[in-house]
Amino acid sequence: MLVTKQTSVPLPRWTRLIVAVDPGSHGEAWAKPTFNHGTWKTMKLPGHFENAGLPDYDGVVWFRKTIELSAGQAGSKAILHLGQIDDMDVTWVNGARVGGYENPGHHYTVRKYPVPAGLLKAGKNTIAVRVMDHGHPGGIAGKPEQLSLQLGEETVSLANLWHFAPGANLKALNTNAAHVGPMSPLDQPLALSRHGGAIRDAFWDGLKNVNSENDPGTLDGLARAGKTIRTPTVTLASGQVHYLIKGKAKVYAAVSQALFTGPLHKTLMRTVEANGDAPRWIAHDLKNYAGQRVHFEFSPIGDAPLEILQVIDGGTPGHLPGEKKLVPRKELHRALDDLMDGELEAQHVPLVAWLIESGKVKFSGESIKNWQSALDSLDKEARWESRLAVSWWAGTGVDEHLLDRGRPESPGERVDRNLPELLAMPPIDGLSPGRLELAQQLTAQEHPLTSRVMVNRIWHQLFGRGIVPTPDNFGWLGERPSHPELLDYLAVEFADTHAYSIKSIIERIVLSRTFGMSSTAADPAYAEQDPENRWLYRMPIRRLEAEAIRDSALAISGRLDRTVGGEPVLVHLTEFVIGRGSPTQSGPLDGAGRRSIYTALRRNFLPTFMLAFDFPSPFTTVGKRNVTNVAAQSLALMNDPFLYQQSGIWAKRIVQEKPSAPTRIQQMYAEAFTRPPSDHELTACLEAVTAFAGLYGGDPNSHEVWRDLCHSFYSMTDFTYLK
Amino acid sequence: MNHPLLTRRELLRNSSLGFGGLALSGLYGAPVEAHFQARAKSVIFLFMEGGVSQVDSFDYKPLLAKHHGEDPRKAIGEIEATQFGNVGKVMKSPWEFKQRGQCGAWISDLFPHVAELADELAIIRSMTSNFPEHTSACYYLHSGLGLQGRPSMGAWASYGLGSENENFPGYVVLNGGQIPSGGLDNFSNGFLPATHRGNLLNALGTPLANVKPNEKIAQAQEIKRRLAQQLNRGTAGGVEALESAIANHELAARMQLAIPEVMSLDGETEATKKLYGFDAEYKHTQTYARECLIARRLIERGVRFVELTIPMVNGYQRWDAHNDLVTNHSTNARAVDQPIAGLIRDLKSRGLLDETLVVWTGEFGRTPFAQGGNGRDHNEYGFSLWMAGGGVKPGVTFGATDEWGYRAVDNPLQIHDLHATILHLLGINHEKLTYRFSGRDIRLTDVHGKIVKEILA
Repeated sequence: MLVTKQTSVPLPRWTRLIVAVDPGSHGEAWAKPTFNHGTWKTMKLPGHFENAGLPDYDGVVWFRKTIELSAGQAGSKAILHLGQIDDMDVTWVNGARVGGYENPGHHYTVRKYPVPAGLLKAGKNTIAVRVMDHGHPGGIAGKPEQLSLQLGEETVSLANLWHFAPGANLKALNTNAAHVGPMSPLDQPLALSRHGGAIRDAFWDGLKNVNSENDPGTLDGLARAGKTIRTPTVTLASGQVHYLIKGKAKVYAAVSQALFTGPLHKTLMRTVEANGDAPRWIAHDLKNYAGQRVHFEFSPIGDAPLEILQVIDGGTPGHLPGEKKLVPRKELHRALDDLMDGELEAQHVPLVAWLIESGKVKFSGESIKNWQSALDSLDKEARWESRLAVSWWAGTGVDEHLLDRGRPESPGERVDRNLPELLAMPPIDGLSPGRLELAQQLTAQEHPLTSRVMVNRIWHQLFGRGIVPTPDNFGWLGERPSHPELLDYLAVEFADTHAYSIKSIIERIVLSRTFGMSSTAADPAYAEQDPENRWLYRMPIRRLEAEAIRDSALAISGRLDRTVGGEPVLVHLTEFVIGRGSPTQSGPLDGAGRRSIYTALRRNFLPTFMLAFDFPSPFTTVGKRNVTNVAAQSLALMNDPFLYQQSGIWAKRIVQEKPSAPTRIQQMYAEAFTRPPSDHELTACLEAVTAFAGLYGGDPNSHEVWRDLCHSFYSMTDFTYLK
Repeated sequence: MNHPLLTRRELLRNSSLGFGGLALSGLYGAPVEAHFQARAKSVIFLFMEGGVSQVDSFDYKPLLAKHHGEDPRKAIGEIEATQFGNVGKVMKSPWEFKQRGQCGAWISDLFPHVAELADELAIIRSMTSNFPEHTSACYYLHSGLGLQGRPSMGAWASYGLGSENENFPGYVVLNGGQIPSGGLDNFSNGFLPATHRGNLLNALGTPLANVKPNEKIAQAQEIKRRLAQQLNRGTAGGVEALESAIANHELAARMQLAIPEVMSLDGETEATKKLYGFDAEYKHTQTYARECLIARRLIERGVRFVELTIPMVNGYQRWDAHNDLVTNHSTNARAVDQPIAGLIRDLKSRGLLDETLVVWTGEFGRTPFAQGGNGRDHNEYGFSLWMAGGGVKPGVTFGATDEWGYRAVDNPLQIHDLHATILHLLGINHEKLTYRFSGRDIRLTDVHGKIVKEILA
């Protein structure tokens, strides 16, 4: 299926295509030192080739330069500096490739290619650079001082005349691609024939999504994982959409703004059937969504075949495409050559499909056998069942418009997708949505913020307040770091020495003197000088988070199941965790003893105990939680059935493990608060034991007595506060 | 993970609260002075989730009968996209409208008991919402934003005014069974301190989460509490939060008595219970009657904002009559009509109506044309609500929809205006009650909201 935007072909297939037709790239002919570039024009670098006789040119341009080196120079440690290249490049020295950036998004990257020892020779040396530019000015266009060959201590400037010549022209590629756009098929010549659709390959029927979430709502039953194809995102003009298909499909027209302009899924989803040998046009009325962005997702139904040839918007398709087309012999041969090499270009697929179907080309028995055995090994390698489910599906990048006062009804100028200029990262370019580029940039070693934000969050978790107290906001409206040099140091250390290992940096911090301090001030005078404890003259007292409180109860009683990973545990439903859309099955009261992070989170049905201790609504990142003090917390500590249950488990074990009241109390303090009880505490607990015993028939060893004593520990501030 | 807590001395140095504020800061927040003279001390918010049809209740449109059965695109003209895209014919109201009381307001037979109290009501017919879908519209109605995460208006009221009774929270939600779409976050405190969250009290069953002790012998709890207090006092060391935790334990103990007491209806006469509909045949009327009576008891005990949810009359249908309008609205109305009227009468006879603002509303309205054969789809372009008591002018109507009851055309209002008005009646300037979050001073009305002066007494 060729479904493309109007003027460009998706990368990186684009890259392959253009290189395939570039004369200089065949056998790397124009990179070879033996190639004679004497007839080529010259231009002074750095500079854009648009200014040197190639106005408005997009595509491949080759640059070559020959330099003379002495034996001593050739033997030095060499680095080739080319500065910034707009957009992509591959660079050769003496016919050997030394480096390149072949993905888009690197036009601000400064090229620095070490030249392998032994490659340079005394006498003539050739540098060849293949530049690819797919839009706007292009070329080797950085700063003059960046264009040089570094030879040991010496620098030879290359900022002077280079030979250059154009290779494959991008614009020449853009012919006869089918469109998704507001055109009637009767108005525009169609190149697609009845062949060359996206065909369902039954080989992949066995793909299954197991034990994981599916799509929400109506899409759920479709079992689309691994079997769905999507089109790029386009803007609907008329909304009179037609699909040219063979076979059966469920189509979901994913309109960007469907949520608020109704109706719900029912009109956006269609089952389309075109049984029989010929493809048929099937209509899908989306007129209600004219003007909105949409992409289309096609999923097969059962075992039925499916072939998708076109998606069009507007007009009434009158007849099937498939008129005769004249194909130059040279193109035919090229297509067949590519087919034999296994690198068929997209625009030749219909041609070759027709050749095969009409019997003009046959495959030998040998090649069929090879194909079958390749398929067999693929069958063994493939992972047929997966728990991973698609949550977001990267489509085509869409540039937004500036919205006046944030109102979608008043779009202003178009704004290219990019990161804030302040971050000084290379802009995102090309047709991709940019998520991959963003991820690459954020995790690049030289990105200043990522490691900084992370170490600050870790500090916040350990000390109760980050070096930057607003961990979610390092901007103008956030707060300044209390210890800027420390933050810088930790940020660099985290990336370099600790290689982004969270465990490792935590170890570093908790072994510091600062972390080792108690929460009692060494000298009361410090409070005068630093009333907010900004400089950490003592350890702040910290309230445990909801999860830690619950996990503590489990750890202390012995019920904690320390298994890592696996299925989440359902929320325990009570009369206070209910409502429309609530889970139908209730989990166990003790969450099966698993750590709190394994509780399945339904953001509208959070456990009461968690909410009482400031568990935030999980609709967004919350780097810094509220710490409140409310009666609901006391009620939970006093009356929550989960805690009551744990106290019974704890008590049973304590009574078994220790013989006497004092030894039991000592063990309880050790297990709950990792310290021995003071004399005062021991006395008070022993008195309580006696008092409890009086309620239960006088036996100080009875289970009820110790359950009650264990239960009272949850109400001690040591249980919820770290001092 | 963990948070730094300041000693009392440290906190005092940096806060303007002073000791008085500190002592109660761990509790429900001491009463705070209003910005100006308040008319209402509390609010009772009767939330009719699902979207009540305005043309079947408070918005009389005789033209619907005249054009009943016609194609709305011809009769009305241009109509907006609906949730289900299943546009039926123009549908007249199955209920009869009459003029009521001395004010002569047109009200249908859907709410016969409430209709008798027309002279107490200020009916607004020109409300709009920005959202046609339940969850967003519920969040919007409660918090002024269509997304999850902002404080509910009850939380703002509690934050702005504190509670008059230290044993009760400032914002209570009485649950008849139907938690609104969007869940408990409708009652959220958002970024305000958790003490202002809507505390859920179940009208049936256990009233409050964790209010019932597990101990079979009450004394056991006593001993535990004494032990904890004894040991906690020793280690509190003047740290404010730790001392609040101690105070909260005392408060929790008192709540264990206070909550069951308010729910037990001790002291209510049979006559009163009958007024609300405790002896109604329909069990859902009994449930809502219980809610309304408890609401009165709560505001008597100083709770600022009491919100009522409706009972589950028919699964999760609520007022959302996409089909079978008659059954849906009749059964829901049957549950709430008498109890609401009883509540207003009871408040009035006890002299409480003047200082209690009662608000009745859904999150949007319904279409004057049918969905399918006999339902009505969502309509956010114009719907009705009413207010009574608490400084509201009785026996008036404000605003109007077009002749079809479809779009608000005369004095159209936004939910922000409702919020501004409610806060105003509580004595709060909606532009001044703010909280600094995410770098700006946010308020319930965001950057919108105009007080509807015409309905103020």
